[in-house]
Amino acid sequence: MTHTDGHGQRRWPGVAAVAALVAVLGAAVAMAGPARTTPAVSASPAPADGTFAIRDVRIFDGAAVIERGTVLVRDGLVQAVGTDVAVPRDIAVVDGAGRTLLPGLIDAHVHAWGDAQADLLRFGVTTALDMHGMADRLPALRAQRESTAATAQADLWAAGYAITAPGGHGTQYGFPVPTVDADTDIPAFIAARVAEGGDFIKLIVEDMRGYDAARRLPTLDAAQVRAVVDAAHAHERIAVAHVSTQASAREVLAAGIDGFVHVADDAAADAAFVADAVRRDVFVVPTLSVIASVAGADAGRRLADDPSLSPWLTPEQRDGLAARMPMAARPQRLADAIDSVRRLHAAGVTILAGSDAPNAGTAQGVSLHGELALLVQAGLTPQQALVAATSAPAARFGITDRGRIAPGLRADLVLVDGNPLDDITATRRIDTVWKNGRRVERTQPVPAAAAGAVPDDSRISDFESGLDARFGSWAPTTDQMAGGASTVAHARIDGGAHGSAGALSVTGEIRPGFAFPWSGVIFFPAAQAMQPADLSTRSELVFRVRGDGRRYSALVFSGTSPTAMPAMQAFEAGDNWTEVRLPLAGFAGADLSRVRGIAWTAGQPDGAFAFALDDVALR
Amino acid sequence: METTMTTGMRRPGTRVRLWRCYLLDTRCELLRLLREPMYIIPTLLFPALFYVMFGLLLGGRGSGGAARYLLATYGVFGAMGAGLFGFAVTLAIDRERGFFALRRALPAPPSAWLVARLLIAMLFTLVIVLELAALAVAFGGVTLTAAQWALLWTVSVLGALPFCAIGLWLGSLASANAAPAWVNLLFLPMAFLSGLWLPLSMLPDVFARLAPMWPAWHLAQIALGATGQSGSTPLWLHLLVLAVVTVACCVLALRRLARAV
Repeated sequence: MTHTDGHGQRRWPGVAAVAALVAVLGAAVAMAGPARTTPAVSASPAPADGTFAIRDVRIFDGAAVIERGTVLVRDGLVQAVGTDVAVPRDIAVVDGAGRTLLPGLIDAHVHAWGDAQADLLRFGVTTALDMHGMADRLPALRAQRESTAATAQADLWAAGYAITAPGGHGTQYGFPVPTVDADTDIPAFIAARVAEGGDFIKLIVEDMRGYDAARRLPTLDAAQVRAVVDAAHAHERIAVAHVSTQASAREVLAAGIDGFVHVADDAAADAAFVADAVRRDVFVVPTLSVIASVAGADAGRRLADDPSLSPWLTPEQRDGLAARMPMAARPQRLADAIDSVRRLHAAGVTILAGSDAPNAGTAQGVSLHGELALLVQAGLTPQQALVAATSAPAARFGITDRGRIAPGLRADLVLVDGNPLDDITATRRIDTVWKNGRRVERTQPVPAAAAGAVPDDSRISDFESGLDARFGSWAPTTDQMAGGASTVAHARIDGGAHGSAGALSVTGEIRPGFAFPWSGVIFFPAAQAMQPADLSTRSELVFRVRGDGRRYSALVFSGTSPTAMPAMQAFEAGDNWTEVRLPLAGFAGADLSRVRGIAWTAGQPDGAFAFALDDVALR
Repeated sequence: METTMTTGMRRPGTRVRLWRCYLLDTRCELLRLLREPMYIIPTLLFPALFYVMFGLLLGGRGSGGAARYLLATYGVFGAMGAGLFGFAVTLAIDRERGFFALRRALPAPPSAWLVARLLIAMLFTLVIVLELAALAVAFGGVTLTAAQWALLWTVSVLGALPFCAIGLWLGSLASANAAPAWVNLLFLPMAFLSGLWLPLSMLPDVFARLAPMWPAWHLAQIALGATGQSGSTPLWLHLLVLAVVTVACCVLALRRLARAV
C-alpha cells in the first residue's frame, strides 16, 4: 500500500518518466547547442553580416603582392591581411586557392545614371568618379558612399556639373547646366558648385577643333581656366580637366590643374609637355577606351564577345559596346594616345584607369576591364595597371577608406580566377565581389529574347474575314504610351483593294501632347507583342493603301532593346488604292534579324486622319 | 470480420486477424477526421502555405538555401501538428464523451485505437512532406538525390511519433475545452524556438542556447541532416532525446488513461 498512490497505481513509473524527461532535455541543452550550428545555415547569413575570411589566396593589396595569404573581414571592414592571419573558428571561410583578391576597382571617369551603379558593381567596380551630371543627387551619393549597409550599387564620388562655357561641350545632354561666361563671378560660381556637394571640380576645355575642322564650340579661355583652378583650390577641391588637344592641355597645365581626365589625342605628347607634367605632379586618366571608340578600333565589340564578360551584360550594355561614334574613324588617335601614355608613364607621371563610360563603344563596369588591357598595351605592367585602378585614384582624389586591402579599410573586394598580375585579362574572370563586406549577388541579366523564326509565307494579312494574320498580330499604337493625347480606332471594313472582301481601316486624330506625336496600327511578327522575330530573309514591305491624302510613316521597331527608336520611311495615302513597296534596306539602322514590330502611323500635323490598308506582305 | 455477420451464426472462438482490426479502426478514425474539414484543411495546408510564404517568396531572394532549410523544418512542423493536434484534441474530446468506457465494452483490441491514430498521424505527415517536396522542386529549385528524399520523408513520418506521444499525454491531462489551448501553447513556441521558421542565428542568444530542450529542435536537426545541412551535434543525442520523450510521455499518458473512467 505504501508503494501505490491514490489511484492504485505504483508511483515509481510516473516519477521515473518525469525524471527521465527532465534529465534528457537538460542534458541536451548542456551538451548540444546551436552555438556550433550548421555552417550551411550560418554561411548564408555570415557573408551577409560582413564577417568572413578568405584563405590561401594571392592578394594584391593596391600596392604590393602577397603570393599566398589570408584576409580577415569583420563587420564590413578589413581586419587583417597577411600570411599568418589567425582565422577564428566560427566564421565563414572562402577558399582562395588558384585565385587572386583585388581591392574593389575604381573607374576614374564615368557618367553614371540609370542602372550604372548596379552595372559597375556587377563587374567588380565598387567605386567610380562621375565627371559630369546633375547636382541634385550629390547629397544622396555622399550618404550612400558613407553608409556601410549592404548595397547593390557601386559608390560614386562626383563633380556635379562640369564647368563649361554657355553652349559648350557638356551642355548638349538634355539637362540644364550652369555655365561660365565672360561676366561670371568665378569664385562665387565655384563656391556654389562646392555648396551643391561637388567632391572635386572638373572643367571642360573643348572646342571640337581636334575632331571637326568646321564646327567650333564655345569654351573657357585661359584666364577663366586659371580662375576656376584657383577657386577650386581655395575650397580645397582638386581641379581636373577635359582636354582633347595638345594646345589646350598645355594651357590647362600652365593654369595649375591637378589632373587630366583624358589624354590629348590629336597628337602624341611631346617631351616638353611630359617634363612639365612630371614637374607639376599632375595625374592623367587616359580613357583609352573611349579614344579607341573614336578611332573606330572596335574594342567595344571585342569586349562584348569576351566569354567571361558576355553573359553578364545587359542588352543595354551590349548595345552601348556595339555602338559607334557618329564620326569618321580615326585610328591615328588611338596610336597617338597610346604613345602619349607610354611616354608619360615612362617619365613617372601617375596614370589612372578610367573608361568614360557610357559613351558609344563603352559600357559601365565592363569597359574598365578593357581599359586595363589598353593600359598594359601602352606600356604599364599588369601590376601598375591594377594600381591605376585601385590605390592610385583613391590617393589622388583623397579617398581614404578604400582602394587598398588594409586593416581598417572597407571590405570592397574582388576575387578573380587566375593571376591578373601575369595576364591582365584575368580581371574579367570574376568569382566573387564584396561591397561593404557583403557578397554581391551577381545575376546574369536575362538575355535579349532570341529572335523567333517566322513562317515562310510572304503574305501577312489581307483582312478578308477579320484582323487575323498568317503569323503575328495587329494592335493599335498611339503616343499615349509616351504621354501624348492622340487617338486611333482600327477595324476591318468591307471593300478592300482590287475588289477584295475586306481591308483594315485606321482612323484617328493627332492631338498635341507629345513632342513627336504618332497614331496608327502596329503589326507584331512574333508570338508576343514586341518580341523579336528574324525577318532577315525578307527584302520588301508591300501593302496597298488608300486614305485622305496625308503623309504617313512606316516604322520598323527592331534591335536588342525593345525601347530603341524605330527606323522609318514615309508614304502617301491617296484617294485610290495604291500599292506601296518599301525596301527593308531603306529602313536605316533597322536590325532585320530582330524585328519587333512594323507600324503604319500618322504624324504631324495635328488633326483627324483616316487610311486603310490591305494585302500586307513581307517579300 | 469474415465469417461472422454474414452467416449470422457465430462459432465460439473464431479468430480474426489482428491487422484487420487495426485496419478497421484506422478506417473509422480516418473517416471521423475526414468529416471534419476544419481540422483537415489547416493541418494539411498550413505548412505548405507557410513554406510558400517564407521559403519561396521571402527566402527566395537569396540563394536556394532558405528553400532547402525550410523544406526540412516545415516537414517537422507538419509532423508536429499532425501528432499534437491529432492526438491531444481528439483524445481529450473522446475521454469526456466516454469513448474509452465504450471501447472497454467492445471486443476490439485495446491498443487498436492507438495504432490507428498513430498511422493516421504518420499518413498526414506523409501528405504534408510530399506537398512540400512538390513545392520545393517546382518553385524552390531544390534538388536532392532520391536517397535524400527517401531519408527525409522517413525521418519526418517517423518523427511524428514523439509528438503523438506528447499529444497523448496532453490529451490525457486536459479537458476537451482546454486541450486546443494547451496544444497551441506548446506547439507555436516550440516551433518558433526550435528554429523551424527562422534559423536560430536570428534569435536572441539565450533562445538559441535553450533550443535543445525542445524535441522539435532535435527532429529538425535530424531532418536537416538528411538534406545535407547537419549541425555539429551527434545524431545519437537527437535520437536519444526523441526516444526518451516518446517513451516517457507514453508511460505518463497511459497511466492517466488507465485511471480514467
